[in-house]
Amino acid sequence: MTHLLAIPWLDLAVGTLAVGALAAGWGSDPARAFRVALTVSGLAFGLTSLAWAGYALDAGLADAAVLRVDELTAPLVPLGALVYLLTVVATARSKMYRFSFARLLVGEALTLAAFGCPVENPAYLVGLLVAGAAVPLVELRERKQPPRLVALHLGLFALLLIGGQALVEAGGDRTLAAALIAAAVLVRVGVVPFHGWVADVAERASFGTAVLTVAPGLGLLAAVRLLLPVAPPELLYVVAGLALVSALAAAALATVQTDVRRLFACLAVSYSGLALAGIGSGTADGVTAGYAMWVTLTISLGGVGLTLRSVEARYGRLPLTQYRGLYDPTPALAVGFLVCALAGVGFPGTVGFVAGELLADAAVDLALPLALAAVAAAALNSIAVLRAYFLLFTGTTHPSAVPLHTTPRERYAVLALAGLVLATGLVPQPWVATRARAAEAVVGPGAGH
Amino acid sequence: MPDLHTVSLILAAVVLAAPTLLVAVLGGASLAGRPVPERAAAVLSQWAAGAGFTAAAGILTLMLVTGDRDVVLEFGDWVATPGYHLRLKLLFDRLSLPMVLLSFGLCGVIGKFAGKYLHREPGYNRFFVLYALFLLGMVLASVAGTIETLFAGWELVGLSSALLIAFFHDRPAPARNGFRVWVVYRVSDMALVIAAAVLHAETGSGDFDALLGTAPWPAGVATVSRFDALLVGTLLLVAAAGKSALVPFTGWLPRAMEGPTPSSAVFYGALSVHLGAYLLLRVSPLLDAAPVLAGLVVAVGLLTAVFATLASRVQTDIKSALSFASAAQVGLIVAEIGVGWHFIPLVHLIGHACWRTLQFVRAPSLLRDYRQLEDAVGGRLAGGGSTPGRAWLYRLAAERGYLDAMIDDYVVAPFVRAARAADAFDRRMAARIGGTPDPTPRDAPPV
Repeated sequence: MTHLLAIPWLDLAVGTLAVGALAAGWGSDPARAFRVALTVSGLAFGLTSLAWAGYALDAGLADAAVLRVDELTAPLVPLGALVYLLTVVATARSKMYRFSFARLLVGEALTLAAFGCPVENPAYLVGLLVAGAAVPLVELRERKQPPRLVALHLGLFALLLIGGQALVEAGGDRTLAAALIAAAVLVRVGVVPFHGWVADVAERASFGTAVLTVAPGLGLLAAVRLLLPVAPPELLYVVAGLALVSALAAAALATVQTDVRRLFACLAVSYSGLALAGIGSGTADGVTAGYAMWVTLTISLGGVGLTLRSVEARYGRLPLTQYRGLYDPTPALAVGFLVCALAGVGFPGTVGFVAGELLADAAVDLALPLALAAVAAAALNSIAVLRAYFLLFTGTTHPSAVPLHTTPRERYAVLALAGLVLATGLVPQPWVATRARAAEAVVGPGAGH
Repeated sequence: MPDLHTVSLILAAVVLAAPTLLVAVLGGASLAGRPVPERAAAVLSQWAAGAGFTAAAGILTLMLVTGDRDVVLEFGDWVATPGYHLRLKLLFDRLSLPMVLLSFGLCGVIGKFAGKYLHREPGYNRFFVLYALFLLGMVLASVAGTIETLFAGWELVGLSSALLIAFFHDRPAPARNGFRVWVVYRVSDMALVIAAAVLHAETGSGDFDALLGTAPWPAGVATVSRFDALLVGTLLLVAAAGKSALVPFTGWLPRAMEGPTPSSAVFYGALSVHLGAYLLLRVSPLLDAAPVLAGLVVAVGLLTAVFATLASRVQTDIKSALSFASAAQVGLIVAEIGVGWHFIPLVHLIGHACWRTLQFVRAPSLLRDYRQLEDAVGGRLAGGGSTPGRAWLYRLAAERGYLDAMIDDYVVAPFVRAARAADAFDRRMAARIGGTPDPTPRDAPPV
């Protein structure tokens, strides 16, 4: 059994995805592309789960393995694969002809490879992150949407990241290198004022692409793998401070949004900001909180994005300017949205509760105003998500001449994520313990308890 | 033969498991698209309330037999990292047991009432899912031995409350009022989260023991400094004010009457509205340690009582009148707590909860009751007269003290204006940098 788990499953997953992308991109039948993507992403989820099992059971890894998981990434890899899989599963038939499954599989391969990139080879990680940043740009071009805003930001991200890492590799000014990488991280995470591209992707690309751009948390991965090893504590505090301010600002913006996709973008920026604030705090408790928030945002944004995507598939783009009354035609989507959205704001019984408690606790240890900012951001986010819920799903009746109930695929996707939200919320110790161990691996044992 | 401690453990598990299983069954079935039939939902709710009540009564009996003033049951760490522990700890004492028995008892009665009252109502299943969530929240908050556990129950009560206010969700007013109540809850709950974090920072844990000593309630003594007692206590007072509709948050209570009568009765007549007072009772040693805080509690309580009494006199519908009457009594209960009493406010709370629940469930029959009374009396019931100076008082009461208007004008509107201005600037910059027109609508009606 141990020998089986030592097989390089993550390498196989990425390879499968690469081959699957070619197969899905072959021909012009969207239904066929969907089936290929479903099979391949399902396989990828299975293979990444085996990779996690292998790590958890200490099975070792074959020498031939290129990609590796560690304490940080072992659970994140199958979680990311799950979000991709559910994005495929929940794609409505009406969306299939517009949504590129081949590009989804390429994006997934790049994401999983980035997570599995060995820490000794940061240059490869830089390459994968830069390549991954191109995915939403390609889609914008295909949809004939103006890519300038996104291109400028992600181009800046690429330049800063490559420049900073090159400086590190060349043994140059470490502080300057760290500053460049920090700036790159801030852009990629979408910290205010570099958040515009996230909203632009959300508004102009497909909702599925928007979800997959933010949910896996690649900006946070860059922070952990590339920034933490080189940045002095003072720079990390600046990053953490900016991230916290950004989280609060984005949460405030979320409360007044008039468009569902911009709301999603604001929530993504806010949650990512909170996670980055924890990671940048430099204390074991803070980094644990940041990692816990990372898991929370992946699950929550995945769930919120997919339910809203399903709602859009029925009703088109949804402005948050009047009541829609969509609960009665689609109660499962309403409940799924509510459960996943509440997870992101730290509601008890959901995955985000412990993350929120850890974050508040770590912030109070540093300074009471920081805790106030973090708690205020969570409160504003919760107001924003309930506002969206009431506007979208209540307030009026929505008569329809055609059936609008959820399809089995959508129901499975929503149930899977809602189930994950509640399971990780009710039994948090196993996954929180892994986050704590991963944090100690970064900051050292006993640092900042 | 299991020992008494084991029996207590089992009974405590039943107290918690009964509402949890109810939520799991009703909620899980709904989530899976197979809602439990009407009759089954009502029966399950009755069974859960009955089982919980019996188990709680069993713990009370054991305590009376053994002479224990409290029973503390630790289920270990729910979450543990090297720097943080979140314990699952239940505390059954002379404060929590009456509250738990009250919760199960009233919820059982109202569940039975609702089973008939909401028969064939389209949202029947939704009501019972939220009712189950509420029951779980109340029980959890009542028996919480740590501030995090109390917060978990507190939030469950808040969410179920907001969603039940918006129960009749085919109209905009319930949705608007449900959202308003949610906003008040979340803003005031920030204080509770900060209090929990400060408690962790000062004492190393969220246990009430660490804050209030290990003596059974109400004999606890605050273990923190006077400043910390004032800080934590003030934060908890803000949280309590939000939940219990104390000034300046009283305005949300009549809005909550949009919900169905059974939830109005059990939430705002009985249980949810008293949760803030319960919290203050739980941390009453802090009031003893910080006289300024105690004074603040008395002031807030009395102000609420006076204001709500005036407002209740001028309401034109029975549920709003009852809601303000509830607020007035809660204000008095809070003032009693601030004065330093413990058992008087507890008895007041229980009596008020039962009486107000009855009034709420009788409310739909009010007009019929009045007619019967007038038939028996043989004429109209006497109305009030008018005296000089009452007009301005009437106006103040009718406008509900202008509290909501002040909050809207001085807190909400500036925030929304600033956020919308920032959003508009954001869009303009994005459009300028991206070379695109702004495609999305900018104006939204206030929700």
